[in-house]
Amino acid sequence: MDRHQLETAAVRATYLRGLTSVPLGLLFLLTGLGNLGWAPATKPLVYLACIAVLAVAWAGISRYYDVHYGRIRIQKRRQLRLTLACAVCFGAALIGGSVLDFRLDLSVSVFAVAFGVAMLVWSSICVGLRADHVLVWGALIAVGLVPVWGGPADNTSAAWLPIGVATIIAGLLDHRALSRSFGPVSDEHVVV
Amino acid sequence: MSSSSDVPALDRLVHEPNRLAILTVLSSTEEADFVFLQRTLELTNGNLSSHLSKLEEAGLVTVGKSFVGRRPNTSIALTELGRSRIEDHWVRLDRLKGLAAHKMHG
Repeated sequence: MDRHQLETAAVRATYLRGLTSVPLGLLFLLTGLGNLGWAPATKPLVYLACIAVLAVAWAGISRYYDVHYGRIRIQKRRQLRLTLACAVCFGAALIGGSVLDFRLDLSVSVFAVAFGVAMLVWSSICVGLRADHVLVWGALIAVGLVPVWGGPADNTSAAWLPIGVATIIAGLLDHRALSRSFGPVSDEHVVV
Repeated sequence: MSSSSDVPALDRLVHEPNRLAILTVLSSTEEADFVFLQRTLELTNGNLSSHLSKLEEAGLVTVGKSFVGRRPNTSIALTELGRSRIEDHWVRLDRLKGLAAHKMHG
């Protein structure tokens, strides 16, 4: 391993914990279905119960990574830079995308496109762009640009569906990249 | 032509490849645990423990043992001395590389 790889190992190992994206992607799907009027997801109690289940799943997956891939606390300065980059990328995408969708009333989903672009920027900052990032988030951008999106409300509401699917697929691919970089899970790493 | 006094001396404790890798990985963290270092550097338990002991004795890292839930956990952090020694070491290596390149082209 060269110097750069060693210095970025902690950030890569944190970012590539892709299975944690699965509950998040499911939450996006649930939100999209609720926005489209799917009855179970529109009931607040059901929605909150689903969030609780997904939060428990997320905590379990995080624990799995801590046990099998180790615990890391990234250097404060670096962590601050990543947090700021994350806030700027997704703040701009979520707020800017939905505002533009409502204002411009286009037949494309600016929200989905902005989310895809934010993910590409975020991935390139954290771990550098891989071909699968370009494929998954590029596909989301392409879906957002297909002129089939309905009224202004729909552009943002329904966009959560492809965003959810893309988040889950990207997470699974990140997990695969983690296994390739840091080795598959084995018992010898668990107990110290 | 460079004289021998231009050639930076290398820190032998830090220059050993596995210890250099351990310190470089730790330099981007506040703290990391044994499992993470082992996975990243593909070292055996014994090998990693032995290097960490040497680094701890020299005051370059601190090693803390605790329980997370019911599991024992060993966390490792660079000390201020360790951080400055690894930064200094990379500066020296870069200077050496520069000198070598200069010699080859000059």
